[in-house]
Order: sequence, then C-alpha cells, then structure tokens
Amino acid sequence: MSLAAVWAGSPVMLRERERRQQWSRVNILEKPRMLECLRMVADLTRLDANWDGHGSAKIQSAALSTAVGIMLQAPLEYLPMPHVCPVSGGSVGLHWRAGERELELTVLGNGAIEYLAVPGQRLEDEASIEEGTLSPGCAGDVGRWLQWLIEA
Amino acid sequence: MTSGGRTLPDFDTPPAVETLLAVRFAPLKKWQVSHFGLFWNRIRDEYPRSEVHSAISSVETPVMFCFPEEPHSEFDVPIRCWFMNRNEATLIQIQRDRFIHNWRKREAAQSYLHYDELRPDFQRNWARFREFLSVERLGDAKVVECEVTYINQIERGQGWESFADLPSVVTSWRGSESTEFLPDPSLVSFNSVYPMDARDGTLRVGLQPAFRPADNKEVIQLTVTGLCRPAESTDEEIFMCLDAARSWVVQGFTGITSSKMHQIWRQKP
Repeated sequence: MSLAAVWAGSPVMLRERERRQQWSRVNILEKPRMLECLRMVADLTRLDANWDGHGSAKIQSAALSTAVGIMLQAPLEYLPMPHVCPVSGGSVGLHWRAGERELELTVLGNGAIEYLAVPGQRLEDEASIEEGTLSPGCAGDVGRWLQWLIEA
Repeated sequence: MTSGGRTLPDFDTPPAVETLLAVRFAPLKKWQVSHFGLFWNRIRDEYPRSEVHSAISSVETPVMFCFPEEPHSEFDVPIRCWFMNRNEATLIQIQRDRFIHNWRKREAAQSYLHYDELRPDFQRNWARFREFLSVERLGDAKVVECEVTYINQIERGQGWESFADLPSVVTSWRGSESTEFLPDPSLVSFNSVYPMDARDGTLRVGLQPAFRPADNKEVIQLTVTGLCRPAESTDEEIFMCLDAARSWVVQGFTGITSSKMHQIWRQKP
C-alpha cells in the first residue's frame, strides 16, 4: 500500500466532500477507531493550566490542531492504537508501538513535531535510532514514519 | 405567537451553525462556463472571493445529464462556483441546475441568524440570478425543488458524553435492544425521511458523528432538510415552498430532540 495515497485522502472521499452543499468544515467520522483516537486528543482540551502540578501551560491549540491533523490523515486501520498524553509545556505526545518498532511524536505548542523512531530493543538497534524535528506545517512528513511502523 | 412575533419554536442558543436555502431547476441547456464569470461580475462587490468545485449531482438530475445534447465546447464540464462575501459568512453556490445560498456562524459567540433575516437576502440574490438568466437569454429557471437545510452541531459535553447518551438527545433514537447481548454503541449515524403533508415535500434528518477542526471539538451533526416541489416556477410559489420547508425543519428539529436539550438551548416560552 502506498502511504502517500492514504495520506492525501482517498479520491473517493475527496469527491464526496466536494459534492456536499455544506460550507462549514467538519470531518464526518465513520470509523470507531478514528473517533476513539480523536477523542483522546480532544480530551486534552479539558486540562487546565498547571494540570501536572508543576505549572505547565494548557495544551496549546496549534499542538492540538496538528495532532488532530495527524490522526485524520493517518492510516489508523493499519496501525495499533496510539497512546496519547499531555506533555509539559502544553505539547501533545503520540506514541505507537508496532512489533519491535516504536515511534514517539511530541507535537509542540507552535505546531512543530519532534520525532523519535526506535527500531528495536536490542543494543545494536541503538545505532539506528532516528530523531529530529519537523517544522510547523510539515505534519505530512509524519507519513514516512507511519509507513515505517506499518512495515514492522 | 410565541416570542418576537414568531409562531414556531425558538431558542436563545440553538446548535445551528449553518443554514442554506436552495432552488433546483431543470438544467439550463445554454449555460456555459463563461456564465459563471459573467454572473460573478454582477455580485463581485459583495462577493469578492470565488472558488470552483465539482457540481452536486442528484438522483433526478445526474451530472452526466447536465450536459446539453451537443456540448458548446469540450471544456463544458459540470462545475459549481462558490462566491463568498467579505467576512466569509455568506456564500452563493451556482451550477447549471442549482442556486444555493448559505449562511454560517464564524464564531461560537456569534448570534444565530433567523430565517426571517436570511429570506430577504435569498430573495434579492435569487432575483439577481433570474434577471441575469433573462438578460443573457439563457431561458427561465424551471424550478423542480426548493430546499431549506439547517446544520446543527451538538458539542460533546453539552447534554451528551458518549453515544449511550443519544436517547436523551434525540428522541427518535431509543437505543434499546431486545436482549442484553450488545454493549453500548461506539458510534451511531442514521438517516430518516418523513413525508410532509404539504407541497409534495419530504423532511430528511441525518445524524452523524463528526469532528470540528475549527475548535477541535467532537460534535453530533444533525442535518435537517425540508424539500418541497413547487407547482409552478413563480417566485410566489417558490417562497411559499421555502416557507413550508422551513416550518417543517424547525418543527421537525424540535420534535426529534429532547426537552432536556431544549432547556440547554434555552427554548423561548
């Protein structure tokens, strides 16, 4: 399966969206898995400032929007359920484990994404751990790492 | 009369986020892509932004039948143009067989726009469109359907937390099973159609789980549509149909939603 195609949204879905008369933007949810993932992110909006007892800011709206965007475009049916958690400073943490592989994303308050891709738990795997930062607006590049997870 | 001279149920804070009034007519055979631009030129001061979308099809008028028997050019494709006003709260959508007018709430704090306030706007722009058809000798619009749609979004946390709570939001969904086998549903969506006792109409209700990207909120989207077939294409008949459709939409919405939700939306006495 080409993840690029999934990431861009299926042509059928796009055509359906185009046919609607409705103007206000909304994502109709047809799969419980998608609903569950989005609900985990949306529930973070209920956390007030100092939710961690150490003075953390509220979860930032750019972090939430970017995390929602990742969930909406990710091929969730091919992935295990993610672990979603608040991160100090107002960021959102997304974590997937597929087989030996792990992908950890921290979506920052400005919409940038820090990633850490761990290929396995063995000592020799440590050398091939990859980490980096994707600039705001580059959430589409997460697709590459989700593809890597699916291939595990 | 109930409140403010209005006879239909009314709410202080209804969940409506968008209203659209639409007229569907027999496909205009002489309509070409260039006419979108010519019409836009007439309304551009008020509607300075435009977008091109694919045409909406319907069972009665499939897109492929929208082509004239002999297309004017190979580029005569079934498209729909959007014309938006400056603050992007009002939209006019036009295609070969439809005229659609939308109004949406841009912010949660914005007050709800009543039909009485939207109707004159629609009337004025529909008249402009009809005049354009006449001036350009495109033939009169033979209207086959009038539509009023209210799009409502009920946020999670406002009267419901999970789909197990749906029966206390929507009275037509009982949520009960004849055995104890099934757990609570993780997701519910449905469509229902009711016959209207006037103007050969139908009332359609669609309920769908949805996610609103503007504020990252989970919502139940409840779309209520009234459709009427006018006996003739006069403006008087068209607006009687729209009024009837709107009356059914409001009463239908009130009928399928619970009194608990009416309290949350502060129904007026």
